[in-house]
Amino acid sequence: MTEALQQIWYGLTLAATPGNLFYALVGSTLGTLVGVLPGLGPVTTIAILLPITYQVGDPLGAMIMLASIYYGAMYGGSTTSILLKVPGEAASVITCLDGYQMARQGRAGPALAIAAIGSFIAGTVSVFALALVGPAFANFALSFGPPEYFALAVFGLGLSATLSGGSPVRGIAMVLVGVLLGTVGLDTVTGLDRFTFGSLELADGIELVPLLMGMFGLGEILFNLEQKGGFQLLTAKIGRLMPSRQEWKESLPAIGRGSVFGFFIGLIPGGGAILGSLLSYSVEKTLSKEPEKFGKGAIAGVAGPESANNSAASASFIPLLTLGLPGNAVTAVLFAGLLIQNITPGPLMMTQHPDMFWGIIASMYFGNIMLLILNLPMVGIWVQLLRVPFWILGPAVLVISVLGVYSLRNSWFDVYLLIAAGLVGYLFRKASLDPGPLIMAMILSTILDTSLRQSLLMGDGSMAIMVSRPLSGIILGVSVLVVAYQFYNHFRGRKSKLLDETATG
Amino acid sequence: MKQMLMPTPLMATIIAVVALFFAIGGYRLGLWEGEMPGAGLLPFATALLLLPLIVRVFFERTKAEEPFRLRPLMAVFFLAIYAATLPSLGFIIPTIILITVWIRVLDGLPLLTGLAVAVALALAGALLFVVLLQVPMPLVPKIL
Repeated sequence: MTEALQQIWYGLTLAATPGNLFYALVGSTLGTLVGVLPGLGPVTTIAILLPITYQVGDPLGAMIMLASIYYGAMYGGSTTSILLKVPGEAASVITCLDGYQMARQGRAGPALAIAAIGSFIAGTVSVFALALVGPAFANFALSFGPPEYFALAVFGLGLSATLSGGSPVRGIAMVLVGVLLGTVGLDTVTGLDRFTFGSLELADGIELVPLLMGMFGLGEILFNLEQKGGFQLLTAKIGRLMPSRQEWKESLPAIGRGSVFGFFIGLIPGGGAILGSLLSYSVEKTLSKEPEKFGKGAIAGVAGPESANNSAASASFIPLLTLGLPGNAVTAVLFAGLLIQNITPGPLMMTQHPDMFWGIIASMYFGNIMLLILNLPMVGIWVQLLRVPFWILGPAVLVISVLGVYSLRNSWFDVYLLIAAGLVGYLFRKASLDPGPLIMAMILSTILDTSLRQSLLMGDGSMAIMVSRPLSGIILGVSVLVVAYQFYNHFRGRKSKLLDETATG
Repeated sequence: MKQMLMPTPLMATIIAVVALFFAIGGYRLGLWEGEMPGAGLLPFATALLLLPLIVRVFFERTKAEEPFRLRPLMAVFFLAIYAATLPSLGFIIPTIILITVWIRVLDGLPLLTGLAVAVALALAGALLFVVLLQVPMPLVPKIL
């Protein structure tokens, strides 16, 4: 415990320089600024702003800025959920249920405030929990062999593909497409060129940042060109910001529970924020003395899921930093941010780059503080941004994306890749195919490839080694069960829906 | 034929072609080299798993799905021309033309509004990235 506190203190001293505080300030402002723009969710926001962190130069400063952008973007997403009923990401859908109703009742201020305060408390809890759990996780991960890594990667991908809310068949198809795209480039084992068409730009694989910015940023802009009339801003006035005594009373236990649930769920690769907020919402509804108020403006329905969302998001840094496994689309983008800074996350990060490891953990805390002291009082200004018309927003994102992508390697090829990825992102969106699992799978493809081949070598060409080792066997078994359950649920749901339609039709 | 051009069947077909490409490519790279698994094993195995799933996606009900609209496809066409002209014309001129056309044609707003926004965004972008952040993006045509 004392050691964990010492390590946090070490991280805080690294992060709390005037320069780093400035990066935190700029990051949280930029993150909120872009995240609050209608139609741009946290993943899109971070993807668009990622190249700016490259300009910082100092890796820790860049990561502090990125973490602040992340928190700003999350808060921006909550704001659009509450005021516009436009969730920036799947996890914010839950916030829309009661947050939007509160805004309709003239309680937008308390809803926004409790979202920020809940996120701050959850962030604080999870940062300390991270410091406690992180080293143990990294030590445990050091004992992992190739079969365990293979099993964990399969587990994370299986969960993210089937828990994103859509069709599990489409989710898994996207994961497999991601694995295929991830194999492009020079094979590290044999040195053979794989699917590069002799292009030098593809020798290191498909560059991740243009792909992310294209699929999430540009793809979103193209998709939004179809929408007519834009979004309806509910209110330009926020009014009273602080929750009443009764609202505090209802919110605080929900924040506490949400913080704890969210943390444990975030530790599971592929679990992440969606599951955290869903679980928190159902728990709050079950425990409430007035469950009928849920969906009609219950503040606990905002406080719990927003805290769980934030706590899970922070906890998902554990599998990212200690195992090198990004658990969701957001951490996949952050993974790309680390790679830009020449840092490869994994079990050795804590010993090889302790400054980065503890600095990043501390920086998350700074992101949270900035959000609370800067963004909350400025909520009136952010609300005005909701009025930015789409015909300015789209071209602005385009300009930032082109310049940002070019700045990474000064390469026109990356700009072409950005535009191609934008088209693909739009097509995916039209066909209800989620690019999140694809990006995660692309990142995990290298781990899957090397761990599969090493495992097969260890097992003399037999896959039996994957199930004969207890840990990998258990992880693979659980993966199969979870995925099978999701398939069962999906098809059972569809069947009953069809039966209902037949009965009523 | 019209049904084939709906988003899901179209994307499923494209993905199936990609999967076949990787399956054949993976096989050619080698599935097993002597004692070792080959470079083509993972792409080959993944493509084989993907093919039946994508056939299933192809036939999934697409009742709620909306057909492609013209505006995003026009935007992609403009973007392709934009990307092709960037290396020779630099950032400023293609960006101003693209945004003006984008706002005029795709959003149906007056030409002058489009031009004003285009000039403002192109200059702001150039100021932030090229002047302040020193990204070596060429701003004007090579001959100037």
